Amino acid sequence: MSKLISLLERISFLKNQVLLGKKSLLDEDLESLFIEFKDLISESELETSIQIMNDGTIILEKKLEELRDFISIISQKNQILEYLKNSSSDEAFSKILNIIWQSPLLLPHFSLSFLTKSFERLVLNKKSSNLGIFFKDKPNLASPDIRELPEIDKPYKIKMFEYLNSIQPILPTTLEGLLNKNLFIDDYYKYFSYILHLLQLGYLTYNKSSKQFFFSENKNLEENNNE
Amino acid sequence: MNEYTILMYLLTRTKQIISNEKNEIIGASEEELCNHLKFTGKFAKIQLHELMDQFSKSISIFNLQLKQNPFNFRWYLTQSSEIEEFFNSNPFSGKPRIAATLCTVLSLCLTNSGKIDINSVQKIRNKKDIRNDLLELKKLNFINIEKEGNQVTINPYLGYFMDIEGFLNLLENEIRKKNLKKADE
Repeated sequence: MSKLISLLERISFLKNQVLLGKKSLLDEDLESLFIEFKDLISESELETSIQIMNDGTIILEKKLEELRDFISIISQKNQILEYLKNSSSDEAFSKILNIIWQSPLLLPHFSLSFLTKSFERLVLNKKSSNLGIFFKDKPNLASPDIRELPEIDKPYKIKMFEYLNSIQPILPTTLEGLLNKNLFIDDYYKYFSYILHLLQLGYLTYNKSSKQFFFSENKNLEENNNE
Repeated sequence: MNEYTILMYLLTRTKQIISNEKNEIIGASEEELCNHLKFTGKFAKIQLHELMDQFSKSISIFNLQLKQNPFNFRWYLTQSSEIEEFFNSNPFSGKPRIAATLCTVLSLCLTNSGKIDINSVQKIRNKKDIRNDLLELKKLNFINIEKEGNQVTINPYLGYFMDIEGFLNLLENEIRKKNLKKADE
């Protein structure tokens, strides 16, 4: 592949990324690309050169557009200052932040040691590796009742209700109130799974506006504990 | 490990802050991603973006999005607003005063080449003292306060949590609405 074609591929990729809105050109170093183009341009590859010029023009047009928008924001400085000064209550800003706030996905416990531990538990410590036993019976394709616990053993259920008993005095509370971030990783996920199951079974309810968990009074805990 | 595992690991990468024992997102730069994925040469970035495109489509079913921090250009993953609401991650719920101070600092920084005077924030906020607000924002790692002098800057860490483009659009809309209202009067 000639150097000019390689340049064409890079420029047309950049153009596509920009047109799809996946890349901003404000901080893109276009100068080095154009210098490279200037050095490579040749009569023998005129068609490729024209294609590069074509894509390059689109990119330049887009860059000018972005610059114009950027300058427009900067030039609105006085209006922004006036708006900040006079127009808005603190609550209005709070609402704006609520709309544009996002949380990055943090997987602090997605460590190699955690994965290795899971791998050992789930794969290495399996007593049988004969997968045939799983396919002896036809799978039951009926849709499961979502109010039923998915295949969990009794000790899990007992532990889950013990957990419910232990958190009852602090309810209603938020997720942070239930799950202390300093918990040991195994406990954190164990309690989180209890909460999900308790929500699914209706023993806990979640209020979106107050972001709190409540105990469902109409559920009979004693009955289930003795099942 | 396959390429997606490497991407997932790098994009959700955190570093532990010793002072408050918290893990903070750092994500990954394009150079770091290329190095770990062993993409080299002139086409490295193209290969990377193609892979990120496919990856982005795959994770969308989990309500996850691939994003770039506009302050330091590092890539990271965000969760959908529904999941976020469940985890109650906005640190300003119930603290509108701090939210307003942050919006003011951010707007001033964006229109004043990144660095502003504490007095200018004070003047606009029209409050007796905003130093405590600023200290709280500094504690959250969203702003930097220069030790000497009276200057405030935005910490790139804020870019992982705030949709800056969305913020500017909302601000612009609000100003436009206000101008229209004025014109009607």
